[in-house]
Amino acid sequence: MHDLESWITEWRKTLMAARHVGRDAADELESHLREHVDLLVRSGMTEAEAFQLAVRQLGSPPAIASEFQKLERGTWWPVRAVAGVGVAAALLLAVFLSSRFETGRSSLLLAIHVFTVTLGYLSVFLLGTLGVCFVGQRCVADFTPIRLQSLSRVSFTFGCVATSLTAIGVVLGTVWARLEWGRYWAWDAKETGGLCVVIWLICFLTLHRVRWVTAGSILLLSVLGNIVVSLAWFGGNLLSEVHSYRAPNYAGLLLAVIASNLVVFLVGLAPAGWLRKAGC
Amino acid sequence: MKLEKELVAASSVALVLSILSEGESYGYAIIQRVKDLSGGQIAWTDGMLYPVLHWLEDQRLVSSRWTKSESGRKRKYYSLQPEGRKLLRQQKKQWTLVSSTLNQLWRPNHA
Repeated sequence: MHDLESWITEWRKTLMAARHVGRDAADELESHLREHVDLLVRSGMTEAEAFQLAVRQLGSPPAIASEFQKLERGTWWPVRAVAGVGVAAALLLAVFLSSRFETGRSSLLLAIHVFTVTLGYLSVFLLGTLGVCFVGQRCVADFTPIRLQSLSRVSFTFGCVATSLTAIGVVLGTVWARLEWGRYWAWDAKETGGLCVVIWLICFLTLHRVRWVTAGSILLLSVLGNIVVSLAWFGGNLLSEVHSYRAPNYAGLLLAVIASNLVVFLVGLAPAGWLRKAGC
Repeated sequence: MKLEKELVAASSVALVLSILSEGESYGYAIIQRVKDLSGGQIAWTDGMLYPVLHWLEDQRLVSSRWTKSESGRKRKYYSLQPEGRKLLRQQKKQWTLVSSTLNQLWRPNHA
């Protein structure tokens, strides 16, 4: 049995599935739809007739999305740079790991584990870099709502890629550990670090879906992802014996990364355009 | 007679800014106002107004705020900003020029 609420929910899902229509625009269009349906019902139509007519007069979701798409100008250059670095890193890593696998210095399982975890961590770093660029630009001038909406979509995509790769990597790591060391999980610092990154990313993606969290807050939060991954990647080397890989002492570098990202995060809390207003 | 789609699109910024110069308003009310004023002959596909409103907001020509109506429904109200007033003045001059030129050309005794 259908009712108005379920029709509107379905309609909204279709609208949101068409890219380029943000949550704010969807809320506005839904408010319009409800108001029009009310008016038509008061004029004597049934709810079903009123809903169908109101939807028809509002226009099809792909047509509306296409109009919103026209508003988006070219991609912000840091997004293009970050995406380029990501693709280049994936190719280089694939070449490096395949050569190790072919020469017998690494098993296939280990090579895929290293590939997915490294790219997953790198994606979080790239997302964090985007957050740092966001804070830098915002010090001079605020972002327009349409650009913010577009950046929010990019950060969600990066977050999904990072979550998938890291989660796959962590799972493959447990399988490899079972084969090599006879156990799946031992709360080793590196394993725990990987789990923390996955948890962080799930929280990050969840916040994307929370209504009261703005696109700006999400981008600012992505800066903290740099700290989480630094601790998981390099902090693990300091604490873990099994994953030390003859790594140099990263303690100083790690502290510098944490401190600088905290500073960027705090700067990001200042009002937009504060640097220009201060006359710098 | 319905206005052609292209002409509706071309006049949409001038129409929206003019309505907002009367006071803040929201999408549904703007559409109804245009329909009423034109006797239903200027009619958008309703959803097409919203990208225009978002563009105006993006250009800082209008500002917006969400508020709850007396019936409890959430509405996004738009109001004109100083830059929007400037653009409206320019648009008025341009549309008046087009209108007066066409009026002169279409006078019955025009050669």
